[in-house]
Amino acid sequence: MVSTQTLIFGLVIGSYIGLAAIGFSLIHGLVNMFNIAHGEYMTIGAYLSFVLMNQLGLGLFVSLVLGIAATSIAGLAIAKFFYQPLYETGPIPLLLTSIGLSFLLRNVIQLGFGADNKYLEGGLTGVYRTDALGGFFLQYSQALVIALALLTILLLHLLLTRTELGIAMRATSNNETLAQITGVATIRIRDYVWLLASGTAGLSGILLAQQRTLTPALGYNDILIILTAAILGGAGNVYGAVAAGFFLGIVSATATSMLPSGMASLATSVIFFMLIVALIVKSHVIEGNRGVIAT
Amino acid sequence: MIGDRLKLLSNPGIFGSAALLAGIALLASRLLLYPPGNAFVFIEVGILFLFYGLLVLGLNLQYGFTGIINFGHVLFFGVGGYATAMLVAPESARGIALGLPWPIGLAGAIIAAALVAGIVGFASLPLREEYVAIATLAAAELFTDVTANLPSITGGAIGYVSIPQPINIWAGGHYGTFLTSTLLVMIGVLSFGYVVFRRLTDGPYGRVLRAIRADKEITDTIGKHVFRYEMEVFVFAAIVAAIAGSIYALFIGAAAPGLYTADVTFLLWIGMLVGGAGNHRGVLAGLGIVMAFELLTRFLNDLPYYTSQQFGALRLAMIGLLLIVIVRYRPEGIWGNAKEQGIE
Amino acid sequence: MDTTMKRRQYLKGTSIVALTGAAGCVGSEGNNTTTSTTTDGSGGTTGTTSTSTQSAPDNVVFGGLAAFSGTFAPYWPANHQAIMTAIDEVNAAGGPKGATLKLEERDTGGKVQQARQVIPQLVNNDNAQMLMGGTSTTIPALFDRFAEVQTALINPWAGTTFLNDKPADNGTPNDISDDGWVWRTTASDTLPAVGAAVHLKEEGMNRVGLMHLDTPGARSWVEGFEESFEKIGGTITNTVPFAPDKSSYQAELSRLFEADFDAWVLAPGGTGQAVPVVKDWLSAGYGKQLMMSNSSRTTDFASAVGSEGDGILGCGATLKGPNYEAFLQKYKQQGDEELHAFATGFYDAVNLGALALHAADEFSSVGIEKNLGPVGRNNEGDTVVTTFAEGKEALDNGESINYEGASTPCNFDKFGEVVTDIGVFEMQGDTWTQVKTLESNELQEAA
Repeated sequence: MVSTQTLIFGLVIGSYIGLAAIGFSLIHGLVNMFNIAHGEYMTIGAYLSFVLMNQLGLGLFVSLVLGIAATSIAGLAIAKFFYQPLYETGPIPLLLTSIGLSFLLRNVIQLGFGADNKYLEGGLTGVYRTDALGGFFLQYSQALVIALALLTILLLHLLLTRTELGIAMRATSNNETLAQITGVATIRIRDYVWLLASGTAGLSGILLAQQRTLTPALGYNDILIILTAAILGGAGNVYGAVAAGFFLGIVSATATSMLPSGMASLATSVIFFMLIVALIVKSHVIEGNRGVIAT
Repeated sequence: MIGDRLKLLSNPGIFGSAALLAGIALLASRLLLYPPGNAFVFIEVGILFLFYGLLVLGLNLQYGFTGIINFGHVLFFGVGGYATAMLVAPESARGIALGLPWPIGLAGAIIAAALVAGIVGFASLPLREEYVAIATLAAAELFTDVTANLPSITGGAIGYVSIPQPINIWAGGHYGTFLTSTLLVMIGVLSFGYVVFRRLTDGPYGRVLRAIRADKEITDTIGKHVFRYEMEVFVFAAIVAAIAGSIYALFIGAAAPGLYTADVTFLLWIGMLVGGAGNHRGVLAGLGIVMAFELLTRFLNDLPYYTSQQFGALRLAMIGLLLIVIVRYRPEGIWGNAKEQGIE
Repeated sequence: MDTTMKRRQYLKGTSIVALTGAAGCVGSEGNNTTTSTTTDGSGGTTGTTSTSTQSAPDNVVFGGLAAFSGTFAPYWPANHQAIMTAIDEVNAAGGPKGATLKLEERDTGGKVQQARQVIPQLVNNDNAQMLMGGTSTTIPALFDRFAEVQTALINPWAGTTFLNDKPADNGTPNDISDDGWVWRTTASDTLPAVGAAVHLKEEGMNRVGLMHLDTPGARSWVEGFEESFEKIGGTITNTVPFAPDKSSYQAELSRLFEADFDAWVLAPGGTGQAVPVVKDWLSAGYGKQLMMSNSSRTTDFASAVGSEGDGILGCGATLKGPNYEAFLQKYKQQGDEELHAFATGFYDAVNLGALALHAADEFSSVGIEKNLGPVGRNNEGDTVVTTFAEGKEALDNGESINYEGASTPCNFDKFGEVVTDIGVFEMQGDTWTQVKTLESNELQEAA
């Protein structure tokens, strides 16, 4: 039986993954590419928050807002410059470009900030404890991550279902040619998607930097797990991506608590293994279905 | 007359045999060779180029000719290395080590690669192309993860460090001779590899592969069992990679997860794209260009400290930029054929 | 089509030959280790290198197996600063035999393949007469290379137990045929681990839980600890490895604390990995005494963790040798990098190499190898010196010297290992204060 506490740990890890996977999944669905540089978008957000919080002394929430905004714009600019010219050429050139971009961005950040370890100041501290449900504790910073993950997906849902933009996005993802014919400006839509995806990437980067050591490879370390969550969740399915994120988080936490001691760090391998299995299982579904934002 | 003789030599099969024989003769003669000191680092990189050359030829067969997006090619290099390590390393090593003679190690590498490639290929090849990329990448990551975490089976993160080195032993432990004979032997091996790959793609088999790359569905419709061809190509290239991995382990005397990371795959892809996928000598040249770039930039260290510390990052950034530029402006590569690759 | 291909192969072949030849023509002065893998079994300084020169050239190069990229990159800037502190001092005193000492660093990225290429590049192309650096992953895989290129490696920071039983000069300085050519100016992972075990037992903590990063370095530390702790009667009730760069370690900690123990030990393989684990532990409020392995005894760690972490213990080679305070002053004037414990050893490495070179009959890497032992060891009648300047003066007076370093007394045994005192440190506010010293003889019983 998995304890409540392990479940909570899993939700926390899952929130990090899921939040990061949202952006990745959006791009996969609407721009039809795997953006391997997504990790670097997260890293950009993280370093921005370092500047805002450690160097300018701003508070957490202010930095969150500014950081998300700045990362959105930066992400869009990068995408328009590097990816937009290749929109028509298919997923592979875009994938390769994103790999090159990942190297480029990561090392430019290192050139700018140095390779050394940095630690974010001014994050949330404090813990909530209870004996309910068998007893567990939850750090405030962890609660924040879970809350923001859920909030983001809620806002995204509202956007997709209640706004013109969101409906246009879904139309584009379903059938781009049709959408174009009916007057949806696809490039414009994609711009908004980049803003969204980069913003959520920046958010997850900032939250990650709270808990971890900040290095240029911060986002890059997680790109494979994020990718796994996005694929597990279904191409372009942001709800699926978050759910998959939570699932992977719980798997990871459970594996850590249950694997025999010598093999405890194989928890990451389990995730890769699941990715491969998921790909095989879904291979019949994937063949016909282009990116769809399911509702 | 001499012109004719030279022409004969430029046939890669003959050239390769000549190099191989020269290498063996050098070892047998017990001659001690003293290449100039500055040359050693170039020879080392040259040897590495020859090993990676075998990998890139295989990757080219998969992608350049058949359109398979394999992002995990280093996996088979590693499988070859580890299979050999486990069979050949002395029993004192951590992890499984059987201390058998090296030819068994090589055979084991081939068998292991065929098995692994069979499984990975079977699982990934039916997927859509970008998913094949992810699946193969995941498989390669899984391999390094698992080998690093099972010390009693694979020696853990340190791996195997005292694998016997046959050429070194035959060279009497003399470094100059060892390196030079390895260089000659590997020139021979790569040349043979080149011949084999050329033969494979020059005939009707190559035409089918190119057809698969151009349009899978149509090729399937006209009765060519696409999946079978893809599997053959996948496994074959994997075996070649494993042979390279096996010899490499016997060359440096070690096998460790750190030798088989995604960096290698990345290097192969950049070399292949720069040189021109679908062109055997093109991808070798492309790989050579990229490796030469990396080596030569390492000599540019002699600038003030700030720059040399950061130069590593600068170099990697430039490589990333190179990939971006190639994909955008010259996707067929320097020597590739745009029409053949279906690029408008 | 065939002809162009053939031509290409032919060109490739000839160009390799041409390159090799041309490179050979690019000669360089003096100490090119092109020849001579001959070794002299009879002892005494015979002219083993046909390229040795009697009068010292103007410059001499020491090579750094640098980490500009990869996992160790955050720690290299301090190493560099320590090296330069020493080099500037050495040159200010006139340099070994009047030559100017220079540093050439090349990036290994902590990777075996790259390091393998960097070694011949430094030795042959840069003419390095001695190498510094190496990590717990690269040294075991490349151990034979240093003997092959006949250039000593001084390793100031990798604690891999692989080196514990590999002879450096094997106690026979003049006979290089039995040399391993690798020296170490820091303690192996074994000793600090033993120290930690001894201290905990002395404090009455008989049961211990272990948590370690899943790398060879951290693992070897943990194995050393386990062996000693159990030898002196302690019990380990739980061991949990963890992977690097995870977003949360609560699951691992939860698993660890399922068991019962008096104290827990963390081997995090570096400050970067230590901070998240310790912060998570503090938030969770498990309590119990925490003892850390050596690698995180930095101000960075202390300030990142904050005052909640007061009372955390760390155990490691003090790496504060006889000359430490003086060194620290000079280091601070050299630049802004914060010093970490392992950087100090790089300062000593340079001094040892320079003194060995000055003492040597032949101005070469072989000369250095033969004199590292004598210069570092405490032999009868040696003059004790703590800087290059002092050592040079003593040597010029015909005395033999014993260099006492900033990190350790540098008294190499035949394996090129040094004996150090182990310190137990306690974190208080922003700093680590030494609260106890365990001398090497105290540790013998548990080793």
